[in-house]
Amino acid sequence: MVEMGSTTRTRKRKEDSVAFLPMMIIGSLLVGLPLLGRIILRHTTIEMRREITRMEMEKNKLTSEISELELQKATLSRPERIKEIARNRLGMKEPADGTVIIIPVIKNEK
Amino acid sequence: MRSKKGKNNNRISRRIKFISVLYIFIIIIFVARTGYLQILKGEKYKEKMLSQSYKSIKISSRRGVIVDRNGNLMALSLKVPSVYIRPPEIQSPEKTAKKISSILEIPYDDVLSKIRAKSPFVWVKRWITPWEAEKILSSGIKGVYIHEEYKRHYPNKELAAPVLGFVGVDGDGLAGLEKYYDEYLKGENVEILVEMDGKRNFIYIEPTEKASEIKMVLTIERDFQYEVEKVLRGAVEEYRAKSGIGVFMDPKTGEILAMASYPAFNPNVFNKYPTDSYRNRAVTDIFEPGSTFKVFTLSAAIEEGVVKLSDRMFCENGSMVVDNSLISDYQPFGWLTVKDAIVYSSNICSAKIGWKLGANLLGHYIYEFGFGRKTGIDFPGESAGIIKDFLKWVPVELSTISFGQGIGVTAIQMLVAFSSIVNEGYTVKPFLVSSIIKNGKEVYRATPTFLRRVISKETAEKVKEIMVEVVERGTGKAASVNGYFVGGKTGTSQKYDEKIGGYSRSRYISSFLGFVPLKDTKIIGIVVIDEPQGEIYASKVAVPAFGRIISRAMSFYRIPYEREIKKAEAINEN
Repeated sequence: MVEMGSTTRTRKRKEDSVAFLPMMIIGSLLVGLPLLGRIILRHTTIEMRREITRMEMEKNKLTSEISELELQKATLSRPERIKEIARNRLGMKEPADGTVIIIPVIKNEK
Repeated sequence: MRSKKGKNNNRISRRIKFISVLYIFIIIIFVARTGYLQILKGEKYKEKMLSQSYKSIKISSRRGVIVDRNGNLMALSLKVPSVYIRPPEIQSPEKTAKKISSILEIPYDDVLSKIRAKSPFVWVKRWITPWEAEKILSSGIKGVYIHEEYKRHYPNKELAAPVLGFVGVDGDGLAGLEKYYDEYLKGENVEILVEMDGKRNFIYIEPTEKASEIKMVLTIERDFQYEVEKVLRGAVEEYRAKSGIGVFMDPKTGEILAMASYPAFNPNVFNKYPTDSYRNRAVTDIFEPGSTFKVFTLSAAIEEGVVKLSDRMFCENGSMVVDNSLISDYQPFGWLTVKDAIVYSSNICSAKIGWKLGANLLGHYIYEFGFGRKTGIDFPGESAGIIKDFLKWVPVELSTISFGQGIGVTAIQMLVAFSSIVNEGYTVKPFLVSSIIKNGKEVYRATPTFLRRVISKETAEKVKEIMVEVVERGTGKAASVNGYFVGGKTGTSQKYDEKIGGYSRSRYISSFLGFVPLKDTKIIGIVVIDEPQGEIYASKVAVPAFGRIISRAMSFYRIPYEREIKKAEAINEN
């Protein structure tokens, strides 16, 4: 009887101890998973932000290039330069008064 | 056996229990600590974290671009590299100075003195070329750095330079429209947030959409401005004159279509030019208008009904003495109608018209036309002109002011006053900037404003017709343009000579004030040539220049012909 009682207690203790394991695992998961998630999220965010910054810098560089091209275009289309090319390279002349006839626009014409 | 096994199980079970309790205890401590850090000390640590990971940087917006009325670029800021040093970081000043001086081609001593300066930061050279910057960077000199900053570019060089003005090395507007609209153009300093990692490398820079994109639209048209400047320069050079002014305006709105001063300067390298060339003479310089002013005396006299155009006046055969001062005409005239007195520009008859008005009335009209006060044009340093209080005029002053001597005006004042003649009696406020756009939204728009009504519509029309006759058969013939009725008035005034205490016999101002076309006038303008040599009369100096400009303007603005076109002749400008 004594032996039987001892065996039952031992089994009960064993069962009790084993019952802690799922709790430990669940507890670990509850703490560990959000932490892991947080780390992954943070890493992804940093990577994405680096990418945004890189693209932003690229955009700034392109904007700068556009401005440079605009300046170049404006320099090349200076009236003085155009006139000089027209006269000296293409042999063009100024139209005299009366050469160009401006036809008035008649509005509401059907 | 069983008992031994039972003991073992017991020990394992106790250990599991102990570990479980310890685990729970650790978890509780962990959660408690997290709660303490997050809830109780959360704000403090958040701030600490932000201060370590984030940095706020102030960046200045790019200075706004300036475009003409058709969108052609007039001024733009671009990033260019500049070199600076941190003297405390330089170990070998001589070697560093030698290297920098050879790359940047600046004197060795200058660089050395900058390195030896007791300052933590010294600019070595600003606005260097990209290849110079590349050389500096690749040389790896310690304590030498490159910083990118904005530099203003004016692609059209001298074109409209006195109007545009320029900016200093720090990007502040120092002259012209750059100065007047500096607050709009320079934009705001934008604060951006930068995120850094543990090594202080940038992880994330907040996008800079907040940095404003500013565009200032002028009323000036680049190509017409070029034509005005070209003709003006030609006239000044041909007559070896001291300077020249040309201003053209839309009289209905007050928009300045072209505003030229010669000599001008290149705003990209403004410091290489004399400061005298920076002036926008049309707004700042005062001159005695001479006969062009007769238009206003006549307008006032007609408005007040003291003369009629058909009235006959004796022009004293070319000379008349008033208060011991001799008033003369460029050629003797006997009896002339009031109309012809203006068409042939008689000083004596104009003085007599002034007498009929009297000092009070003439003085009142002069003020109403806008002389002696600023026009309110959007440009810095406008002059109000010089007019003596009409209550203190002596008879000779009444006489001379009637034909435009003894009064100081600016070219822009003349145009504003003249706008009343072509605008049914109303003067209009002139302006150079039509709008300012910031990030796609209009933040400023100039609205055409009539200042006041000076004369009636009937008077304005009468004077306008007389001015057409000045060009058709009077002193302004050279201003005529094929296919249009041009109106105007010439002026050749003597300059006051302080040395002799009277009017000079060798220094003159030649000017022409005109409009085109007669019906539905689109453009009014003035050309002023200061101290022409050889020829002095406006009919030979200013009038042909005005004619050439106005002829171009008709093509630019596609204004339909209003009279029969004469046979065209080819122009050979070579």
